[in-house]
Amino acid sequence: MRKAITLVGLAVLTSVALSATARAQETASVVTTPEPARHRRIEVGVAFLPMSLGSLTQTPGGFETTVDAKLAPGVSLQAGYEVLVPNGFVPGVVVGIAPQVIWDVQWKEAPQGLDIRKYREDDFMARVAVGWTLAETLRLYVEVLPGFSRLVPVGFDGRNASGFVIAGGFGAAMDLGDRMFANLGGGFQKGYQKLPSEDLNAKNGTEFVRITIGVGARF
Amino acid sequence: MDRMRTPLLTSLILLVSSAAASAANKVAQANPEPAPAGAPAASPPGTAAPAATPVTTTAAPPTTPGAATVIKDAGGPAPVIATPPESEPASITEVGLQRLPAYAYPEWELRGLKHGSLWLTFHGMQWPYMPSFTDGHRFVIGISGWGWVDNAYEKFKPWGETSSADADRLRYWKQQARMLLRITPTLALDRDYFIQGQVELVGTGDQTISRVDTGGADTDDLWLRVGKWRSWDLQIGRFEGWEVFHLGMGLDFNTFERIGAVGQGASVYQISFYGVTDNEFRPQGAAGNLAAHYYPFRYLRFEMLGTSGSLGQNPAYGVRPVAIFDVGWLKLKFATEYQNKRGLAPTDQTDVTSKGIGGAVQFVFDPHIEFGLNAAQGTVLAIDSSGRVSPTGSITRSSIGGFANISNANPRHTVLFGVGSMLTWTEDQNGIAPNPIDKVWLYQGFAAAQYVFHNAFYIKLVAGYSRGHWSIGSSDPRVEHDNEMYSLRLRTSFYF
Repeated sequence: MRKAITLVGLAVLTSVALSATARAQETASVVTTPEPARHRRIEVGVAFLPMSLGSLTQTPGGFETTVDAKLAPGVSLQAGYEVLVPNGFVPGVVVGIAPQVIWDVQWKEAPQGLDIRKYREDDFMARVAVGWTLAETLRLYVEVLPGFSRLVPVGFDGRNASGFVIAGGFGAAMDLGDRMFANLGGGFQKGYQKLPSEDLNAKNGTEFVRITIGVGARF
Repeated sequence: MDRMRTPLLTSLILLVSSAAASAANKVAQANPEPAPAGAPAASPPGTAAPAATPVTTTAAPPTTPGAATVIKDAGGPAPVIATPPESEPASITEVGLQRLPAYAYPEWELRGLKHGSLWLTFHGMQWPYMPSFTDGHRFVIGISGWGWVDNAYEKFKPWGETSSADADRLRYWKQQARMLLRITPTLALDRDYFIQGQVELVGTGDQTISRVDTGGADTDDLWLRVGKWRSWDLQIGRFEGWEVFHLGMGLDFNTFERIGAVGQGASVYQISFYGVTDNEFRPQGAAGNLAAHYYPFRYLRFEMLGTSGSLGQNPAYGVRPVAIFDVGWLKLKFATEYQNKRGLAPTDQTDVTSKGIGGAVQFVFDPHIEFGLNAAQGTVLAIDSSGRVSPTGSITRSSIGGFANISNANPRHTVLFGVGSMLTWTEDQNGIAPNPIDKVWLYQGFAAAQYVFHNAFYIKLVAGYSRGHWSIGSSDPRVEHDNEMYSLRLRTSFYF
C-alpha cells in the first residue's frame, strides 16, 4: 500500500515538474514587445505632517500674544492632475487640492495668568506643484498651497477663528514601481485667521514649519 | 668635477634601479599566481572582486647578509633569481593586500534594501569573510573603511518650571567628521578555518572637544578571532556586540538627534534610549569583550558575549547573549544582558547592577520597503560608595521604537527615504510623599533622505525632532518641565 502511494506521489510530482518545465519553455519561446508605459496624469496621496517650530497668536483681553506652539501632528490628503507633462527641461505642473487637518494646536506654556487653549486647525487648500525629473524615478518639486483655514476650539467654549492660509515648500518624490510614489518635503505655512466680529475680529493665527512625509499613487 | 660626477652618479643609480624594477616585473609576470595567493582564483558569481595586489617584501631585516634574494644579470636580457640555499630561512614572504571585495560582506540571507540602514548591518554574520578558495593557506591583509562629514544645526527650546530653561535655550551649528581605516589581516588555514585580526584606525574631525566625547579614542575595533566560516568562532578584544535595536536612517552615533532633547540642565536626570545596549557598544576604558559565535544554520545565529575590565574606574564584568533568526524578509532578534560594576578601593562599596531584555522584528520587502519594531526594558540598581541605594541612579528604563525605509531601487540613482521614532521612559527611586518617584520620558523622531553616488558615496539629509519631559518628585508640588530639540544634519559619507 505504501509503495503504491509513493508511486502515485512520484507520478504527481513528476507531472507537476514537467508541466512547470513546459510552461517555462512556452514562456521563453514567446517574444513580446514591451509596451511603452502609459503616462499617468492623475495623482492622489496621503501625507503625515509634523508641524514644528510653530507659534500661535491669540488675543486674550485685547492683548495680542504670540507664544511658541507645541509640535502638532497633521494629516493631508492630496489629489491632483498633471496639466503640464515634464519634457526635458520643461517641468511638469500638477494642480489639485490638498485639504489637511492639524491637531493639538496650542501654546507650549501659557503666559502668567492665562490658560492654555487647544485648537484643531482645518485647512482647505489648493495645491500647485512644479516638478523637475532629475533621474528616472526621481523628481524634485516646489509647491504652493493657498487656501482657507479655520481654528476650532477643543475642550472649551469659543467661536471658530477663520481666514486665509498659505503654505509653500519643496521636496523630492520617488517612484516605487509603475504606479506608487513616496514624497518627502519641507516648507512653511502661515495662517491669517481671525475671530468673528462678535469677538472684535481679534487675531487668532498660526504659523508652522511644515514637514511632509507622504505616499501616493498615479492613475 | 663634482658637478659632472653628480649627474653621472644619478644616472647610474637610476639605471640600476630601473633594471632591478624591470627584473622584478618579469619575475612577477613569470609567477602570476604566487603562493600563498593574494586573491581568489575566481570570485563567486555576482561579486566584483578587485584583484589583490601582491606586495613582495623581504622578511629578514635588511642588515642580515645573505638573507635577501639576489638577482643576477638584472640589467641583462634574462635576469635570474638566485634562490637561497634550502638550509636558510625563506627570505621572501608574499603578502596579499586586498581592498575588501563584495564577497567579504556576506549576505547569507537578504540583509536589507540595498544601501539602506539594514543593508549596512550584518545581523551577526561573520565579516569580513575572507576564506581561502583552495585547500591551501592564504594570507591577505584586507583594507576597507569609511568616513563621514556631518554639518548639523540643533536648536533647544525648553519650557516649564525649571531654573535651567534659559541656560538650555541653546543653538549649535557644528561640523564633525570621522574617518576610519579598517585593516583586517586574515590567515585562512584552508577553505573553512581561519585566524583573523582587525584594527580600525580612527581620525576624528572635531578637535575642540575630548576624543572620548566623540565616541572613542584612536581605534574603534581592535580584536582577534579564530574559527570556522559559517560555523563558529571565538573573538576577543574591542568590538561591538550584535545589534538588536535598529534605529533606521537617523539617530546615528555621535549626532545630535541621537542624544535628543537632553540639555545641559538635565545633568541629574539624564535619559537616553535603552536597547539592551549596556554591553553592546565598545567598552570605554581598559575593558574588552570575549565572544563565542555559533551558526547552526544560515538563518540562525547565536552570540554569547562577555565583558570584563574597568569601565571608568570601576572593575566590571558583564554578559550579553543574543539570538538572531534571519530568513531575509523576516528577522527576529532577541537579547538579554547583565552587568556589574564595583568600587575600586576596599572601602568603596559602589555596586551598580544593570539588567535588561529586549527584542526586535524586522521585515524586508525587497526592493522597495523595509521596516521594523524594537522594544526593550532594563533596570539599574545603584549602590553608592557608602553602601546606600542611590535613589536617582536606580532606575527602570524602557524603550520602544520603529523605523521604515523605502527605496526607488534604481541601480544608478538610488534614493531612499527613511523615518523613525523612539520613545524612552525612566522611573527612579527618588522623591518624597506624595511624589514617590521621578519620571522622565524622551521622544526622538526623524525623517531622512539619502542619495547614493557610484555605490560608495552617500549623501544623507536628516531632520530630527525630540522632546523630553521631566516630572521631578523630590519637591512638593512636583516640578514639571520640558525640552524640545530640532535638528537638521547633512551627512556625506564614503564607504570603501
